[in-house]
Amino acid sequence: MRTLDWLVLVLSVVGIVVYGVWKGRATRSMEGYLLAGRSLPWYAVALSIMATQASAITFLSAPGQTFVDGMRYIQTYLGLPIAMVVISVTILPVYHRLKVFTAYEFLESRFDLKTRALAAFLFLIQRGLAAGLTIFAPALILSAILGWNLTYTNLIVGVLVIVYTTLGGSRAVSWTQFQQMLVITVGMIAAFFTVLHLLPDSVSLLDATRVAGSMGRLNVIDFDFDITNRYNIWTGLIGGCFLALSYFGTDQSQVQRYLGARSLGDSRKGLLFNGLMKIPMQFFIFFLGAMVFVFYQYTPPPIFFNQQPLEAARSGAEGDRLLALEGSYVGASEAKRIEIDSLLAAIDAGDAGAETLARERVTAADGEMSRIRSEAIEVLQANDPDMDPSDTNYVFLVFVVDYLPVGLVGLLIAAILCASMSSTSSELNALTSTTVIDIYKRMIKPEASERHYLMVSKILTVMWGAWAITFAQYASRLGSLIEAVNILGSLFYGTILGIFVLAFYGKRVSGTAMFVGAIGAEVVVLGLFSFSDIAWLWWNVIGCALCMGFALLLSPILKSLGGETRDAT
Amino acid sequence: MAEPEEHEAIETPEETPPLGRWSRMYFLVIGVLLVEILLFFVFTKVFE
Repeated sequence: MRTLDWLVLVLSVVGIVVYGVWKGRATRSMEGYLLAGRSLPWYAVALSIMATQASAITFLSAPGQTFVDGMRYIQTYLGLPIAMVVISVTILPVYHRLKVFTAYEFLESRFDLKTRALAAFLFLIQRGLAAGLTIFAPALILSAILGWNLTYTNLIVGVLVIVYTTLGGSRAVSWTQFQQMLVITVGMIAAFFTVLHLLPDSVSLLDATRVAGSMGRLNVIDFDFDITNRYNIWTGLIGGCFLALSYFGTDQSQVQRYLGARSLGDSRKGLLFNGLMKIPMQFFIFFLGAMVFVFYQYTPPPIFFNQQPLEAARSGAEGDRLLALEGSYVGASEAKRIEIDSLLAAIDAGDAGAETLARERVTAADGEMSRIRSEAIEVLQANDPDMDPSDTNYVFLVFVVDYLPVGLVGLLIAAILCASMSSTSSELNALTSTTVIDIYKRMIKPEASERHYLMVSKILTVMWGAWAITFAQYASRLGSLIEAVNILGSLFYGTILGIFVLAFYGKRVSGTAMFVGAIGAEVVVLGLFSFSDIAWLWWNVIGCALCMGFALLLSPILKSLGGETRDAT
Repeated sequence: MAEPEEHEAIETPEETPPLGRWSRMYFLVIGVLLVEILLFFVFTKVFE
C-alpha cells in the first residue's frame, strides 16, 4: 500500500466513524438509541438492511467462490424476494402495531415468557458468535495479504465500531451504513472496470464471458434436484426462502433496521427494495469474480493465493519440489492460454467442429493445472498439517493488491472494512437491544428510569463489542467464510422461524408445547449438522417443520394432561 | 420467571388490511424474480 492508498483508506473509514458519532449525538431516549427514534426514511432503511446482510465476507469470499466453483452460489438468494413479500404482508404490520423494540417481545404476548426467552437466547448465541466472525474474517485476510498484525487489525476495526455504535446507537448505525454502502458500491464498480481494462486488448467483455462460461464458471442455474447438492434452484427457492424469512423476519439485527423506519410504508419499501436489488447486486459481485477468473487465464495466477503457507513451504523440507511445481504451473498456464485463444478464434469463425475440439483442449489444460495445484497443496499440508487447504477468500484481495492502481487499492480495502463495520455495528446494536429489552428489563430490573436503561445499553454495547473482538482473536480455519456464516445461522434459524410461524398461525398451540417443541427441533438440527450429509440450506426447512410439528403434536397432549389451560390468543 | 398477567390481543394476519396499493409492489418484486430466473437460465445455457 502506498501513501495515496493509506490516505483514501484512513479518510474513508475515520470520516464515517466521525459522521456516525455526530449523527447520533442527540440520542437521549431508549427509542432513540435502539430504534433511531423511529425516524428513518425508506432509502436509509433499505441501504441499512443491505449493508447489514452484506458483510466483508460477502465482498471477499463471493468473487473467490466464483473463481473456484462458478456462480452457482447465487441460487441461495433466489428465495429472498419471496421472503421480503411474505414479511411485508404478514409480520411487519404486527411489529408496527405492537410498537415492539425486539422481535422476541411479540412471542411473550403470543405464548409466554419462557418461549420469548428461548428465542432471544438462541439469537444471542448465534449472533454473538457471528459478530466475532464478522470482525475476524476480513482481519484474517488483510493480515495475510498486507502483512498487518491480526490482533491489531481485529482491535482497530472492533474499537472503531464500538465507538460510534455505543455513542450514537441505532441512528448512527443506520446512517453510517448509508455512507458505507456508497463506498462499497463505488469500490466494487471501480474493481469491475479495472479488471476489464486489464484483460488483453484482443479480449472483449463478450469474449471474457465466453471463456468463463466454457470453463464452467457461469453455472448460474441448476434445475436438478438433489438433497445433498448445496446449490440448485430448489435449495435456493425453498431453503433460501426459509433462511431469508427467518433472517429478515426474526433476527433482531435485521428487524431492528426496519423497526427504525418512520412508518410502516417506509419499512415495507425498505424491505421490498432489498428484494429487488439483492439478486442483481450479488450477480454483479459473482460476475466480477468470473472476470477475475478470466484475467487469471491470461496472467499466470499464484499456485496458492494464501501466500503465508506458500512462503513457509518454499523454505521447508520440500521447498525444491514446490518450486518445480510452481514452474510447471506457470508453463501449464501458458499452454492453457494458447488453447483459450484457439477456442475464441473457433467461436468467432463459427466453426463448430474446431470449437468442440478447442473446448476439450481447454478442459484438459485446466485439468492439468488443477492436478499440479493439488500436488502443491499436498506439499503445503505436509509442511504444515494445520494449514487451511482452501484459498477461496484470498483470491479477490490478492488480485486487488497486485493489480489495481494506486488509490483504488486503498478504496477497495476501505470498502471491505466498511462492509465489516456495517455488519458488526448492526449486530452489536441488536445484541444490546435483545439483552436489555428481553433479558435485563424484562427479568432483572423491570422498573428503572429511561436514563438507567440508556446507560445499561451503552455498557452492554461495549461488552458485546469486547466479546466479538475476543472471539475474533480465537476464530480460525473456517473454510469459505461466506458459507461459514450462513451455516452457523442455519443451525438456529429454522427453529426460530417455526416459533414465529406458529405465533402467527398456530392459534391453538400453547406456550409450553411451543417451548418443548422448539428445544426438540433444535436438538434434531444439531444432530443433522453432526451426523448427516443433508445440505445446510435444508436445515432451515427441517428445523422449522420439526419445531411446528412437535409443538402441534404436544399441544393437545399437554392440554389433556391438564398442564396447559390457556390459549394465547 | 413470572408468567405475565395479561396478554395484549394480537393482530393476526387475517385481520391485516387488504393489500391495496402495495399489491402492485409485491407483484413487481415476484415478477422481477421470475424474469431473473429466466435470464439466468438463458445466460447459463448460452455461455455453458
